[in-house]
Amino acid sequence: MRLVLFKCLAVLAAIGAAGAAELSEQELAAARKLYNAKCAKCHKFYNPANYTDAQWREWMRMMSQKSKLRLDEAQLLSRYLDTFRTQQMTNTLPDPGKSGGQPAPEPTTARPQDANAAGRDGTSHRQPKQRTRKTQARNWSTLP
Amino acid sequence: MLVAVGIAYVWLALWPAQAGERLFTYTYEPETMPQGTFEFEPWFTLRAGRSAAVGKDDYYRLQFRQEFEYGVTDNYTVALYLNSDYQHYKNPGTGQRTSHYRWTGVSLENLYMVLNPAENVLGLALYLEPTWDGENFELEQKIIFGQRHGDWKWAVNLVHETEWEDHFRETTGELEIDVGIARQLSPRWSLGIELRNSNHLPEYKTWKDTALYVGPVINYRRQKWWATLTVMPQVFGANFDGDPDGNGHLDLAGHERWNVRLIVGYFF
Repeated sequence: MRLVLFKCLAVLAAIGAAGAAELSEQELAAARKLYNAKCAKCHKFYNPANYTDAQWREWMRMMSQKSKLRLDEAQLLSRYLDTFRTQQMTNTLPDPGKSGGQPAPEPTTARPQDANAAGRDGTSHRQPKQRTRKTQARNWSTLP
Repeated sequence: MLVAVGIAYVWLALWPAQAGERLFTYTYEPETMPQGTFEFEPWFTLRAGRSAAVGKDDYYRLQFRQEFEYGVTDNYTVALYLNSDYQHYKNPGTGQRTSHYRWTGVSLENLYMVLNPAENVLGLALYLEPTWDGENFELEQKIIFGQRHGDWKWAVNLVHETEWEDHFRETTGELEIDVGIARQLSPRWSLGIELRNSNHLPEYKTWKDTALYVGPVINYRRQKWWATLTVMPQVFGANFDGDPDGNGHLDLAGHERWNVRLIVGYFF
């Protein structure tokens, strides 16, 4: 039980600390591969920009557990997906669904463009509003 | 902070479960489970309605499978099945009813994803499943195609199976095509249609019969479990070795009028 709790906290901490970090080209390639193997294989792309920080972190924690991601994988994936949140804020979000399948989304740059605008925890630029259930469900079905 | 976490949990209750859930029950999808994940899936299949003309009045057969599935790698999944079934019918000539429950063996599923549909235009997987019950041996092979298009998902299976019965004294070949297409209606629900065409080839010498089933499939998923149900009536069938069942447009000698399957999956 303690071990599970420790793992959960560690994943949560990794996800939380990951947001503001930049991704090198090598990391970006690894993240795309990871996204395809662990995420896109099972479901379509969910845009992090459509969720509050708390919602997204909790979701990432649950899915990291479910797909048995290691800590470093969870962290890399969080950093990768956080680039989309950042790009949404600067209106540069690319279209993630390009072909028949659900390929790994491609940020336009490896580095979040407004990383400096974020607070020290890398979260101050994120959407603070809470949505109603109805709105959330609608957003889910209209995600790219 | 507590409020935010609370809201996050309410929000999570609306999210779909996303791992190895199946949108179809007869049609396999090319995706394998993520490495290290484990799932338990009880299967329930009802096959009902054969012809009294072939001595199978009031026929129904309940098939039970307990599947233990594990993601060995991101591209390779294995599963162990424990199989049993219950069969019932009445002989219209004598009026005698026959019911029996029997153990039908152990199966070992091997699913290897050759092309990840998330990275390719088409997903492709290969499937091999041997089954042994002490007297009979079966070997099932599938070529599995599939892809997701937004909220839509489809899959096609080309299936070949050989059954060696009675300690390898008799051989029967089976050819099958399974097709499924489904749409995610909401985070919880998917609805689609499945098609199954089944053919028997005794000793690989004659094409004995064919049957086409078509029906709706519905999937419901939660964070830790999911359930998928298909109800398929036979819409067309034919016997090529005469007409033993006396039915001109269905095959009720070697196939049933109804195929119904429910699979429930639990994640660990």
